[in-house]
Amino acid sequence: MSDIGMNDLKAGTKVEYEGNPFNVISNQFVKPGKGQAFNRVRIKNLRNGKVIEVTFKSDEKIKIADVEERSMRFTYKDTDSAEFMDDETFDQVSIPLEIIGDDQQWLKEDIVYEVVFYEGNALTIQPPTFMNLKISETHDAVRGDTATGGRITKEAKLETGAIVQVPIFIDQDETVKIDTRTGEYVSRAN
Amino acid sequence: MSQGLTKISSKEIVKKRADFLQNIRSFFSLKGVLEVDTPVLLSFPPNDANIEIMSVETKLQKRYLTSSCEYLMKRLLASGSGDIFQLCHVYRDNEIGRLHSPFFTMLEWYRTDLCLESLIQEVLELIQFLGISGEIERGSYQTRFLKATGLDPLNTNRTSLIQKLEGKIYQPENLEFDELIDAVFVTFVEPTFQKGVQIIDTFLPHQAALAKIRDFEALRFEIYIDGVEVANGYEELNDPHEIQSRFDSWNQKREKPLEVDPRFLNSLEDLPAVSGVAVGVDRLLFLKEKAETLSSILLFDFHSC
Repeated sequence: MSDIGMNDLKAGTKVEYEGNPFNVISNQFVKPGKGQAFNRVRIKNLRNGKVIEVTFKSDEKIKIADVEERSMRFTYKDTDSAEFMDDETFDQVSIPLEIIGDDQQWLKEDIVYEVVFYEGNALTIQPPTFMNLKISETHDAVRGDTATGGRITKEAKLETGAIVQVPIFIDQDETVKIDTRTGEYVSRAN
Repeated sequence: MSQGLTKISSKEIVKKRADFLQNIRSFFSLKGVLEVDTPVLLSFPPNDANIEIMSVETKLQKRYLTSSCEYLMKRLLASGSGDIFQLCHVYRDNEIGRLHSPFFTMLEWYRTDLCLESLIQEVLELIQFLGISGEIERGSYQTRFLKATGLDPLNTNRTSLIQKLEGKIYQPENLEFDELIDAVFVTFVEPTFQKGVQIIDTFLPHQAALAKIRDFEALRFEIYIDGVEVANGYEELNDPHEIQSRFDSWNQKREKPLEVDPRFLNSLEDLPAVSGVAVGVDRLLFLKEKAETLSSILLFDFHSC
């Protein structure tokens, strides 16, 4: 992959820094009076989501990371991997469950996920922001259910395995809309 | 990227800029300082250690775009012009960002027989005249650096500076000593200038640029307002030999040395005792209007013209 000059870095540029792929969040040009010019760059590690700030001399160059994003449909889960398919090319990709990590709780067959690849290997998967999921297990409202945001909620297990808080009037086998970024209940699914 | 005229309505900006420029001219008219307008195309490139110059191919000869109007203004001073000011367009390659544009409007003025301190006071007077204010704090580069970092820039070494920058700067061990000083400054010292009118009233000898050096201090000042650098002034060096040797030292860092205009060097013999300052006009307007970006108070930015 080619190199890129500091002033060409934009939010969204994927770069390689200390052997890891990063996404550029912001890039600020700083130059003291008659002094050396620098670029103060905020970058997010695509492996673990950690954001760091690094300052580079403005005439420095940095490697563009070989990062590719593809929309892929989840087909099935094996013991230690999940299988995805590209709808356009019919390419099949097997992604180890340890890479998917916590997002395993949002894996539902036939749903399309954004898969990020780094040097050809899957790095992360991104579920749709909102998903309609069926409640596989919950109990009737009881004393002691927690109050969140002014309403009383209870625990419910979704068909994908995620545990979420839902309002007490929601029953088992109902389908609910969930915000996968926070794991919060949004509404009943229509 | 902004398209066409920038965000604050174009009509508003036209009026605000016109009033602002008019006020600057009134200020100098009241002081009896004459306005000059020197050309922006130069036959020799300006030589400034950290400024990249743009050039222009013409059918006559190659020319360079001015990065500051100081050389020609100093030649006018040497020819006996007396106190002068200029509102000029200047060009610096590869400088772009929230507070930078590859071209900008610079206000530069020179006062004969004025010491650095009197010039600092005049800059503060102008800022107030233009309706910009803030609490004033001042100190030398050395004391401000020491206060913010615990390191004395005149008595430190590469190892301490590199240690200070570990994890903050990409490969600090590859930077020269001067660059390490600048890196520590932008990382630890500049962030302490976020509020009010901050004056750095003298600089380190190696940062003198074209200012005189006295008792290991460069007679150079800078003013920051709310974290934005707006003014850079000198008690002007007028020793041609000393200036030649500074140009030579900056040239050592360049792949190809820049040739200096001999007419400028020759004129220095006649340059009177003078202090001069350059002020970023767009940045002042940006501060006055509390704008989001420098581009938003320009009539057109780099991408829209």
